[in-house]
Amino acid sequence: MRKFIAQNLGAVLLLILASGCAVQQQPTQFSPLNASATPVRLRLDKQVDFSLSTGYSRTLKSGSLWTDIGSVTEGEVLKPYHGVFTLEGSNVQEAYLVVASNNMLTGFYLPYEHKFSPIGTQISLPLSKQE
Amino acid sequence: MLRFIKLAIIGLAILLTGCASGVKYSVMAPSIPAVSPDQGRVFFYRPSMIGAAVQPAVHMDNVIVGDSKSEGFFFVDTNPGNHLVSTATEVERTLTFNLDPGETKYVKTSVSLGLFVGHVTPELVNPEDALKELPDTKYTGTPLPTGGAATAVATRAPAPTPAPVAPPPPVTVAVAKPVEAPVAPVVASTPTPAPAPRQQQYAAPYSPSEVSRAAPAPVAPAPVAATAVVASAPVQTYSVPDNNVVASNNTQAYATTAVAQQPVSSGEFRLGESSYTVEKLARQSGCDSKQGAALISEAGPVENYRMTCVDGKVFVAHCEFRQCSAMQFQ
Repeated sequence: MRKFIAQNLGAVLLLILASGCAVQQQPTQFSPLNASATPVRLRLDKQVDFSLSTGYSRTLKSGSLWTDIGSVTEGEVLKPYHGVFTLEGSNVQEAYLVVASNNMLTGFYLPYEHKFSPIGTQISLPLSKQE
Repeated sequence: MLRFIKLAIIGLAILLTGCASGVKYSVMAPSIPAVSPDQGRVFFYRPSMIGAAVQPAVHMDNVIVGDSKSEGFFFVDTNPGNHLVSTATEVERTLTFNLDPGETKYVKTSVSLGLFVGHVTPELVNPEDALKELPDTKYTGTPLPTGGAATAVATRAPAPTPAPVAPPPPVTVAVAKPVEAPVAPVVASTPTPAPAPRQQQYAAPYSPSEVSRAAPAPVAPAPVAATAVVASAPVQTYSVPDNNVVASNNTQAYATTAVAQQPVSSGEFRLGESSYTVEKLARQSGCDSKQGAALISEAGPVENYRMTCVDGKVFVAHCEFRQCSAMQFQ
């Protein structure tokens, strides 16, 4: 047994070091908002908490503002206005919300990777248009 | 009891080792120039003292832009667009984000437990949260204003309150500079006649896009092929209250300047623990050598290497905890 542990210690240590799940990603096509269009700003009326598939939790603050900057096939892309939002797994990635037409959060757009990261269970976001 | 006191002193010394000791953000903030509208700015800071001895280099887009030092901060001006920040000790942690023109983003680094060495993780922080933590951090010096960016000079004066002073006269800064890239945080070095007034210099935000090649310096003290960069931009001066410790190590880094000034015996070739790693790194950059990579600094967790390529070029690398990156290749 001791020999087995000694032999596999390296592998175990490596496993521990490399632990931390990566954020799921899939290809998508981002279409930015027309330059002449006025970006729509939305306000989150109520705090929303959810967990990521990586085990980390995230909170969208009540009153936070989000700007519609374009769309991907999975929905409209909302970028935080005067704030940041990130996904965290083994690494940290800035992300924008992707919201379907019924205000359901379907996932996140990763601007660096140009990819879409789906959320496990879709969440309804209480968004209202900011005048 | 005596043993306990000894242990406590040693522990305290370890804790304090590596803490930033530059000008406080709260003092320096009024003098920090506004970000150019066609560029973005990234502040890097580490408010916690935990793991102070762990100070990995901070890479942005695979270029070293500074060190993650406890209670330290520095900032970098760069092109808008996508950026990747990474830090590595026994594992590498990355952060990816997008920067808009004129935007300022804040990257906080923090230490978590590792197997042998703490892991340093960069994360993006909301501006309002960052601005609450930044005031107590101290400037840790940084990247060089190559290509004409402004260089600021902090003068320690007995003034009670920080006061940005104008007008800034032009200054000529001679720098031994790694050219190949927006490489290391190089510190502008002007002759500083010692003791008083104590003077501290820090480089203005580093702009990878502004890096330009310059002519070889006639006065490079070391065999590293250095170049002189003349920054004729204005100098900003501000006063630092007496209670601010202005130490010189905040202007230090593993800048090429520092590398160039290290005493290297021309006849002695020393191999280091990371020689092989550096040779591999050099080969990937197209530098082959018969002799290999020579250790040109003291052996330890932070080392510098130099390798002369068969075509006469020189490859300089910086290693921390055996994580090496190219500093210069020309």
